[in-house]
Amino acid sequence: MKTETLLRLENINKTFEGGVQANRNANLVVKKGEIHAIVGENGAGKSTLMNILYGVQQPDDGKIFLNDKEVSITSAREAKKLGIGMVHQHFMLVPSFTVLQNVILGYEPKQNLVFVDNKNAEKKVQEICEHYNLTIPLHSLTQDVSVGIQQRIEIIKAIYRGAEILILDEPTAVLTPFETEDLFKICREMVAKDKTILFISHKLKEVLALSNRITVMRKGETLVTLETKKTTEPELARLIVGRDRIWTVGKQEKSFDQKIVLQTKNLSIKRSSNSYCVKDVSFHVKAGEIVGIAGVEGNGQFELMEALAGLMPIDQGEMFFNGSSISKKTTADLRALGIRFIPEDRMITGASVKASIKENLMIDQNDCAPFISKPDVMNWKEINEHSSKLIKKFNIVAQGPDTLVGTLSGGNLQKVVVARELSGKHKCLLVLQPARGLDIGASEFIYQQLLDAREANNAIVLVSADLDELFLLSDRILVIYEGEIVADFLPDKVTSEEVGLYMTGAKRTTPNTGSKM
Amino acid sequence: MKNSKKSVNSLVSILGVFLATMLFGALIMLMIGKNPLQAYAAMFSYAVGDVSAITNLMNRSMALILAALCAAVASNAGIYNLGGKGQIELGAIAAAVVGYKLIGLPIYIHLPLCILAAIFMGIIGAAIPGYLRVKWKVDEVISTIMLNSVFFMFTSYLANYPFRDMTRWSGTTPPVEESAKLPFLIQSVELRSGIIFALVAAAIVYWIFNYTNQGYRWKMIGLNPRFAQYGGVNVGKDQMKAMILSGLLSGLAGAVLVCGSNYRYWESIAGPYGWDGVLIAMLAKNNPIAIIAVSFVFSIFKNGALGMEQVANVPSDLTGVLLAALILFITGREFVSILFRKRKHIILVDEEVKQ
Repeated sequence: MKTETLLRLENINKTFEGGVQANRNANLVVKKGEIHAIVGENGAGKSTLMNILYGVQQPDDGKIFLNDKEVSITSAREAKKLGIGMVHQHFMLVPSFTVLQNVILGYEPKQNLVFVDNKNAEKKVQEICEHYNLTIPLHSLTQDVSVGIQQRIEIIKAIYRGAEILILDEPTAVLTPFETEDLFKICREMVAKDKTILFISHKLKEVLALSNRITVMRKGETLVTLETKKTTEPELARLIVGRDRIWTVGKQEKSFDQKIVLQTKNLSIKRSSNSYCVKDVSFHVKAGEIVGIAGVEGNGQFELMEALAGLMPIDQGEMFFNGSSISKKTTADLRALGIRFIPEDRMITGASVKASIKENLMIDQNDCAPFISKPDVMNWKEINEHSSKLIKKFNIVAQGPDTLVGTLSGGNLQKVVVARELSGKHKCLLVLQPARGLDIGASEFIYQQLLDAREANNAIVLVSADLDELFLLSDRILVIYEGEIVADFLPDKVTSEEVGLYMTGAKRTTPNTGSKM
Repeated sequence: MKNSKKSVNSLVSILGVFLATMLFGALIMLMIGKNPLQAYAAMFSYAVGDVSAITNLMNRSMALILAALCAAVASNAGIYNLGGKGQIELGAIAAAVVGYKLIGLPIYIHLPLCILAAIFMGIIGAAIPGYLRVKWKVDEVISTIMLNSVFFMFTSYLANYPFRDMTRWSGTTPPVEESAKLPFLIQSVELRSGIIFALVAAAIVYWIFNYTNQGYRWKMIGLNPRFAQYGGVNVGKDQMKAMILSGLLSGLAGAVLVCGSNYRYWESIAGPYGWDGVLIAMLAKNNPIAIIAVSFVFSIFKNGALGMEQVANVPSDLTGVLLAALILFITGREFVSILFRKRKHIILVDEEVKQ
């Protein structure tokens, strides 16, 4: 490995509209010919920093130096010109094109200035493949090849476009272990031939196996850059998670009645015909208990919650509410039973941003008294009063019930969602990342609401990647990894580092959640 | 009350757009050396100058209003019914056949039967693509457009073979009985009460949209179907209901065309109404009150075109230019209002959630 500095990012700051600071004085030094891993939790600012480097987003301030020359990267096209390529988590390929067509798309060699010179194109791409020892079926249709090959197409596409620095955003998230091995081989081959790779991941094992150096990001800052050889998995887990927030809310010790409210037995959901996103999950939640589910995004927790809320069909297993099966119930049925859902994606699922606050508050009760006067006629007067009350009770900063939800800040938007979910009959709450992107004040408010619901004997499932949140609120912590529950802890008997190891797949046990009742 | 204020605002702005269009037309006429004052005088006298002109205006407007309501009810609920033309044809031939086949019934039985038959056929025409969409996710934009041809050929066959009026050229059914015609508003100029049907339909749709449970759910589905589903709304069922009401309105349009002004079915009786209706619904942003206003403006331009050509020697093609300008101005209205609106809040982008 050579030691000359290729790329330097200095004091990058980026704040999104709505006040979320995604990058805070982020610094990064990348050497030529290295594999540089960037690790951190969801929302730590990894993707934002990479998007800035790739020209998709513009920093508020800060400098980028390439080969010691300051550059400003205003667009992805500009980034490509500078030799920066990116392979996104979601591939940008045309499924009906051949592999070759996808590689050369937009940068086709021309014949007589007009026609695509296919022969020349094939020769060029073939040269790249040979140089890096890649095999790829150039003439197959892209839709027919595996995900691993599609990723390879993206990599070749970036090199074909002249990338010297290649950004891989969570490249292994979509791959099987075997494909991951292949990808690592390709990466090593490429750095051996003088390319430089930025590897974003939260799977620590992979990072340790592949990279030369590792930069840890937390809450928008670049915490530290370490030599891979000189660090260990527990150290990384501790750095990533960090524990520096002090909360003014906290749960009261209490004893539970032993009534199981929500239960799943061997629940499985298929992602495709031969892979599962939720695999054989059995767990239960008692009345008045908050069960935290820790997991890195994309390990099946989202699908699990959607299934419990009646928004996604299940393939195997069964779900129970107060002892009776709810596997076949619709969302409306489940809501009538008192199962409420606070989704992660509050801009699309949790709220309708083009509708007013009162319309948002009514979605699940639009045909219930007292919000209808005669059958089927809305009682807007009652709805206005009800909405005004909730706005006051939940401290929603808004002009009134007619304010469009899309004009509210993130915290207030989430308060609208929580106000709705907690205003009707509720016995069981399914909560996903409730404080994501919110400031401390709004987060604490939401937490307090959840704790109040716990006091009121609700069964609560809290899914989060934020261990702070889970340790603060949960009575039990389960860990989900690749669709399976791999651990079951009491929060005061475990450290966050330990949970972090399970979240990243470094450790696993076979928990006995299913049989403990 | 907030809704009615909104409606008044939209009426005022539609009037403004109407005047801007006229001004724009005047400029073009000056450029081609015609007298705009003379042309507009002719346009208005042909469109609203006397009672018979008003009859024509009402007859065109009533069909446009109903066709536009048909499009608006569906698209407000996030499902698109571009099959207005075919469904109006179905409704019209049903009304015409019931209207001439049944003889000797009193008007209070015969006329309702005609209207019910038309509505029934209209509903069938809209329910088919609605069901395909809800059940099998068949894109209703495509299926409704394709069914237009199917229904047109079907009604054309009926009018040319089983129900053809042998005394006429072709593609026409016999005239309906007197008992199948709508009551008169003004007998001397044969103005019947179809326009009342259209206005009442608009008022009912307005009421459904703003005051009922169903209207609220349709709006929520139209704005964000994922959110509606999450809130426990049965999206498919409600969209199916929207398609049924939409088909009902186009069937009704067919009935008033036959029972209110033409008294028989002829091939392509729906003419441009189906598509103009879609356009008007879009321009009026699915607001029933605005639909009434835009429909009248549309009709004035279309009916006045002949006058402009005959009296002021302005080519009737200019009407096309005027209608295009009307569309531009209505769309532009939004752009202007965005430009001048004070930004009170920052619209949150979903980057926050994504980051």
